[in-house]
Amino acid sequence: MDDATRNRDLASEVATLLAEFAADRELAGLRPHLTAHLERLGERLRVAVIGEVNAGKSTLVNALVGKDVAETSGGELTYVNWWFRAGTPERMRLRRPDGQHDVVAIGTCLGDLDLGHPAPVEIFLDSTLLADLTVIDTPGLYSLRHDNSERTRRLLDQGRDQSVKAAREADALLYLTASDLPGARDQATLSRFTAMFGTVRVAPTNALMLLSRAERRADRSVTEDPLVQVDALARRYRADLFSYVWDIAPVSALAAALARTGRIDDGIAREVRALAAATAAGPGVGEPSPLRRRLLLSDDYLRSGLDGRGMSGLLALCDRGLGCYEMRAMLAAADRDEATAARLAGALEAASGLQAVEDLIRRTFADRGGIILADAALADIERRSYTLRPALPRRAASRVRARCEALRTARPELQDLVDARTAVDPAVRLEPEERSELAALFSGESTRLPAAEAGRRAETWMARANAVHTTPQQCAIALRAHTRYAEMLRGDDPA
Amino acid sequence: MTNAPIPTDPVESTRDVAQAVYGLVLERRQAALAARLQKSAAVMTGRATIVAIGPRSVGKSSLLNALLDRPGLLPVDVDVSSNVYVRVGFAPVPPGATDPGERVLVEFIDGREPVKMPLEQIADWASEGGNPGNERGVSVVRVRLESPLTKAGIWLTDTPGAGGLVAAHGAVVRSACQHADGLLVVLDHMLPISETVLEFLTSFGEFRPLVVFAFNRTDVSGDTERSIADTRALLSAKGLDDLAAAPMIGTSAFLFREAHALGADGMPDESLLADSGVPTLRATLMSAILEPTRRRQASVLCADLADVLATLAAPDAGMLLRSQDRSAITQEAVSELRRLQRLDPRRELVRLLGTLREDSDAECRMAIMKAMQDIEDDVEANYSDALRNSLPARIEDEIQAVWQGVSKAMQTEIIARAEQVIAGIELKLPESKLPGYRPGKLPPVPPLPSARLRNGLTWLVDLILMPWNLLRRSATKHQQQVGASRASSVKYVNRERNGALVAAPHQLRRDYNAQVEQAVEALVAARATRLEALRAVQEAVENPATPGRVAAAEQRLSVVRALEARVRELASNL
Repeated sequence: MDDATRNRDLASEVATLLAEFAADRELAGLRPHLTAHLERLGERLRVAVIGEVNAGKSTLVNALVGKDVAETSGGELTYVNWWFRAGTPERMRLRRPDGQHDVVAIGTCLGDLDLGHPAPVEIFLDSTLLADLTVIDTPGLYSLRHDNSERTRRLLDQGRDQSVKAAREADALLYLTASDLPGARDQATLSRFTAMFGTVRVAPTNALMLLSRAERRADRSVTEDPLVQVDALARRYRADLFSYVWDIAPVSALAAALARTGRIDDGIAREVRALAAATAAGPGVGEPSPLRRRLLLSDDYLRSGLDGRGMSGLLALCDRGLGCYEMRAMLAAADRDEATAARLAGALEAASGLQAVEDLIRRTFADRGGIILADAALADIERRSYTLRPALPRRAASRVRARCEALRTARPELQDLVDARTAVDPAVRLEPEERSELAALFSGESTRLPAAEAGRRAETWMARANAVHTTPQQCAIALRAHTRYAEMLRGDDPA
Repeated sequence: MTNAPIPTDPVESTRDVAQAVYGLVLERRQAALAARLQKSAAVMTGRATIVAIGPRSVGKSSLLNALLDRPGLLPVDVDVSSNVYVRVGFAPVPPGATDPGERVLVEFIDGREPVKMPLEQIADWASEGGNPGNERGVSVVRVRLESPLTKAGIWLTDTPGAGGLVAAHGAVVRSACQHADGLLVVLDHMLPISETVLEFLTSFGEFRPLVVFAFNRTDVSGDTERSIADTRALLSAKGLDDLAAAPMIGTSAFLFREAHALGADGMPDESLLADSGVPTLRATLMSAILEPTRRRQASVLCADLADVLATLAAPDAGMLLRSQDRSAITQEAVSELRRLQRLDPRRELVRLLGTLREDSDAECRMAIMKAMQDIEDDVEANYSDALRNSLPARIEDEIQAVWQGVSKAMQTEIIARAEQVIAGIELKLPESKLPGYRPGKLPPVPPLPSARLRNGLTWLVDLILMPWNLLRRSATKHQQQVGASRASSVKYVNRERNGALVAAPHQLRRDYNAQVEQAVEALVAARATRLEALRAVQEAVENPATPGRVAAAEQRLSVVRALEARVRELASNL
């Protein structure tokens, strides 16, 4: 049984429990919340893509779902939220101001936006990713450009409101930024993150950060693969952002979108082959020819080079984001062997880093969709069992909590998620080394330890729990760590 | 045979005139004036110091390498690369010196003997790779380099990439820029100027150096034209019209390198070179920063020359005056002489300054306490590895910022009081009756309010690179002291605070004394000039004027008047 299935089972187990609560007459006060959660548990995990205007959110989403949707439908519509859901036939659904829905074919031009009624556009697509997740593409939190026109400002303000709204409705977040990373020596690394994304937050265990336009951050004067350079940079800063995001990865969204949305056809492949042949053979082995070097100097040089050679297909792609980085990858592929459209798209995809990003999304979101939803539902119901006091008899409330607790004990992965979240919570004030160790332990990232080592760590954490200045929260998490290591020692580790 | 006057560089002419005046002063055996001239001539270096600033990772170092035409000179990396100040300049080697022409001089924060080494080793001292966290304790790396730019007189400073332009580190960078002649603001060409950089630039107030913007990395996709237009619009919307009119140039260090790689016969590819924007930027630095700076230096020297010439003319003018109108010399002049002789500029200044030093001391201590408390709160709330590792540098930045803030406020106050004293030194007699008297104050020359005092205070240029010695130690040693836990970090912050509180009074006293000394020196010089004039009057009263003497005085005076006329003409051209 794989993780995804196990986690979906878990979600249905929680759903059964909630349904049981809903049938309980003593818990009438809880009922509206239970119904809402039951509905959510039946749905897919919602992932919102959040970032500044022009960070490449739509491009990335297009690449992930494998279809160009947004750009064909009117420019200003990027100022509303787009919900990408699984469904056939592929279609778009819009809500009119009067509350009715219009269903149209994908690619229909929707015209300009009615500023008074910003309603999300729903896209139904048949895609592997959407089988597990619902993706929300947002307008952007802020613009790095300063725009002074009244309408643009209103659109931006509205875009921010819409983005925040989408983030509230989502279960998990994908932060995307094209601007600089907060650096280690920059003062208050974390406050820089807050400055970038404001109060738009979820638990760090449900958030990823992607560095878009990875290719343009790299140092072009060295030969090392740009994506590798930026990935090393991301590794360096991962620990600093631990209490905000679980992991960081670079991506070149433009290359990914070109590769995935069927733009590379046989005509393009023919032109790339011709271009590769015309600019092949450098003076030394493995060195590009001066002609190619000149062609790939910048996007402008590429454009004028293509123009001079009359390559209209590639030239048209330039308007869709084809730049010298993408062209270099395709030419290198054409040098290696017969460049078919599929191979070129493959080379672009490899250069985009999309594969790694998809892996990361699957590991972090798709496979854990059930557990994230189940955990959110349980936590919310537990919280309300305290806050709904007058409407909820004390005995009934404690019964709810006991059942939730029992479920957590029966399914330790639920408890692990809570513990992982506690471990990266800055308010718990753990030392950085402890934090990394616990995060790895509770997320199942750490490998099985030899018995002696596990025993030693179990003792260390017991000592930590009993230390003089330990706060109750620290004590609780230390005891959990002790239990986990002790289980490992006995060999009945569930993972 | 008539020759049309050869149009010459006014700056060069100023140098020539200064030479002529110096010759005259030596001829008349005026040792004090000669010393003064030497000092003010030293201000006219013919050089412009330009500091490169900008957000991290926009390619400042690569761009400077391209400007200097030395790929690989300054270290470059995808992350923060440079972590100390690197100053690149050129001074001709005196003939017969054994010193090689190009070299690196590494200076240390603990005042250790500087180390000389060949150019290739810069990265070992100035990059995050070779000298992580500045563990080798470098304060500045000075590079002597022969390139067209440095030979023309442009000295470039690369600022550390880490730390950015915000908070305390920004304050330290700002004070590095304050006394520079120009700023090269390097931005990413994809976007217009950011709020951070804008705030940094506006924080200079009226004493902002000249600015040139470079929109770098035009080889990567983005709309340079739009970014530049947006930047100009944004700057004028904020009422910063002089900044909006500053030169803004798209540049690409990558294209510059490729122009050389793709050129034929050892010559760079001309069209690529032009596309890289580097030649344009070089020309702009020359015309927009170097030239105005040289003119400003020359006009300061001109003002001094006029002063010196007036002093030289005083005795003879007195003689002539007496021969024309004896009654013009009154008892009033004599009593004025007595007053000035009694006036002690130092005592006067110290009286006006009152409790400035004690007040600054208290203010400095308060600011240190507050800054350290903020850091301590931050450690308590957001403790992380990154925070712990940044502690020594951050504390250092905070203390430097506090010290420089207080020190600058103190300097402003001292200059203001000194101007009050100078007002007392101004003579109260009607101008026409006093030979050698010139209305004392010159029009203010930025960046300091008083041209007279400015000359004396040029030492501040080096202030930022002269660290808070009593406190600074090497970064590794600090790192060991911080310890690996929240509690020990808090202890470390407290220890550093106590250290700074002990050091602050000593440091401030040193600054205070030095600044007062500078001001007093300028005041004494001003008083001497006026006494000279009055003595000439007195002498004229006492000595009988014979026709021979009058003739000699007239002759001497004509030489001085001729020079004065040239200085006036030059000053109007500058």
